[in-house]
Amino acid sequence: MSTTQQSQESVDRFLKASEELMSMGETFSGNIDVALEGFKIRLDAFLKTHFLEKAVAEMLGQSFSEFEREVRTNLDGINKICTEGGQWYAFCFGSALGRQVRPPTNADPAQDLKVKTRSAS
Amino acid sequence: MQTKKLSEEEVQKFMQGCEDLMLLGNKFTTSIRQAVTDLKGTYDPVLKSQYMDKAVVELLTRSLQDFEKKVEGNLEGLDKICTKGGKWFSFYLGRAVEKEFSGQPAPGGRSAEVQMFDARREPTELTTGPHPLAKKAGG
Repeated sequence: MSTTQQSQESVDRFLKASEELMSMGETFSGNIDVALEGFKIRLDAFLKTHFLEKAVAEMLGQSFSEFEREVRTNLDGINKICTEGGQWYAFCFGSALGRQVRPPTNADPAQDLKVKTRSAS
Repeated sequence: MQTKKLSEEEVQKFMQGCEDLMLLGNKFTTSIRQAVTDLKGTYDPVLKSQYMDKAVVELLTRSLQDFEKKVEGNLEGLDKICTKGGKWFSFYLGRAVEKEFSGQPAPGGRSAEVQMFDARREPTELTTGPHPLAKKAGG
């Protein structure tokens, strides 16, 4: 096997691994989303029963709404890193090697995320 | 379609971008952890109070623990991607560019362009296969 072939394979392997890593990130973030949804359903059921004082139920409900908003905002940011960020890795890595790689549609990868971070923290 | 190779400056910029993006990822996971802690800070006193039926307390406590465990497992996976994964990106890109700038690696003779990647040593092993990490974090 020639050196060029080996290096081509190595690049392909890295690009594939990078893609898988980003896809794993999306899976992890998706799992958190599913867990959040599951907990919300159970909590809603509790809050609607008469085993809780109305004021307590309201307080818990409000507290959870804030929590949900916070988590979802941050999950959006993570998803963006895994989708758009992943495309940028492939693009820059490929370009560095002189490969023909289609650039991601978003011209500025960090812009959206920076805005999100401010609202997410 | 892009055909030209990246310049040294562009590569530097990309490496910095990579690092920033991974730091952002860590920040997002930290924010989620903090949100869980805050939620527990509100729920725990209520669960210990007299305002709730004992059975409801038990069920809600178990649900909350289950949820927390799932979130934490997946956040660990995300942290791993953002820390070790990020280092691997830099390492591979650095190596690729090193080959491009210097051609075949010559012992002892490294160009100035290559030296900027010297600090980027090979990271410790990252298990990227779906089995260990995904199993641990399975939702």
